[in-house]
Amino acid sequence: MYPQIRGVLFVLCLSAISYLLARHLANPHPAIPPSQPTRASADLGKPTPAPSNLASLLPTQRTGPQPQFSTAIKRIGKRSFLVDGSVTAPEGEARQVIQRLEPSARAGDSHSALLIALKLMDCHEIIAHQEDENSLIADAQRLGGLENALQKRSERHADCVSLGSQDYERRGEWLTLAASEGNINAQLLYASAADVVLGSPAMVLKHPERVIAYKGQALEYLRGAAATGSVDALTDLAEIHQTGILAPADKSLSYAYYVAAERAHPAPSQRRQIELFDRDLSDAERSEGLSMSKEIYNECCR
Amino acid sequence: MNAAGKRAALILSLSALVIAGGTLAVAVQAFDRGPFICDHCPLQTPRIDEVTKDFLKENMAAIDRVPMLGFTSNSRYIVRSTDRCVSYRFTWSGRFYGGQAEDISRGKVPTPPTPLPGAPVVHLIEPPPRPIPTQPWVPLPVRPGYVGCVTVGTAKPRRTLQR
Repeated sequence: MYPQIRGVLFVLCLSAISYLLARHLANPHPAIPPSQPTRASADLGKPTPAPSNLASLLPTQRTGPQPQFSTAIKRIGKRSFLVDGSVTAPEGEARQVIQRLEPSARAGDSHSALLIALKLMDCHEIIAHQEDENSLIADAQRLGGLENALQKRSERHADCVSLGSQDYERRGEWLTLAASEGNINAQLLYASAADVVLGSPAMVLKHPERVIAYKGQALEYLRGAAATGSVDALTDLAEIHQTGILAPADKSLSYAYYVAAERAHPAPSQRRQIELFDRDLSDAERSEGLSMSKEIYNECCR
Repeated sequence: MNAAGKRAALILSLSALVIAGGTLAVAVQAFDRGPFICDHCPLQTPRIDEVTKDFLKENMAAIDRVPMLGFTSNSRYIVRSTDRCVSYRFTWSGRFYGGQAEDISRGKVPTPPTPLPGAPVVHLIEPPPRPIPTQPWVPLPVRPGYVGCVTVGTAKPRRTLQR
């Protein structure tokens, strides 16, 4: 009898430890962070050719206005700049917002295309998370009460209820269109929002070839943005070559991008990464990275 | 090993397997984390700014730090500053992007529901009491040959000079 009780106790203890471990892994405690930057705005962008899968969204012959680049940026050097300021989806009923923006987006206004993509992304989040308790708590804190949060949630849900799954599937197409028109914010977002461009895991399994195309296109956008002086694109390229997911892991190249970005716009986060690389890289890798960083900086920001 | 020992080992192995599977299922599930409070974060969206990204990386769930495993969870981090609230999605590419920014409205009092017609009105706060009717001014009895000076609560008669 005694060994059986001991076995049951062992299993119970193991369950409790596993549960506590899972809870700890899932819910870390928040901490207080460092500083904050200043804000400014300007216009810039560089159009790149649209991918072939956008034929349905593009007009056969452009007669409308030329692409406008209304993303807020902050100039930090002769050529270099930072994306600064937020772009948010327009308020209002989603179908009406899309109908209002669609003509200009199809005529080549990249900002309108980006706004449509953001509206669809926002609605997708609202519909997907309408039952989440954490977002309801956040809304209640934000709006000063649970009743207000529930009321706001129902209003936002009503704004999006007219959209269907076909609309949500097109959010990646609108984002791709905005990026292909040269919208710098869309180009940076394209490389981050893999789930928006590629769709659900089921779609990824169904069309694995899209993943290869997406990775190539994301890198192309980031390199193009970096060539125009975007320090954000330099940082993104550094991260991408560090993690090795969107592009092959390359320590020297990642180090080179961090050094170039830090030279263009010194920031504590980049300095930390460079210090980590300084400890990790061999002398040969470091010197290779430094010589590449000079080339990158000259191409980007000089 | 005898039959009882084998059976105990089998039970323990199966239990450990179930627990490990359950833990993995909990870990891989897409989580909605937060709200995290970051007063100094600019909360730029959809492009995440460096300050907010550093904050999230410091406070990221341990499971999201595991390459490939964490990226599949597609977790969402809700971050609040003093004036706005943004949820950031952590995607398969190991990168963040922000959703719609929501302004924080502090001190907004919820609107009470409208009472149905005919329903008794319930006052959560008692109405102020009716004002007490003021007393008419009554002249104090003064003996002949005296005049009076009245202040609040007291009467101080004084004698006039007799001629």
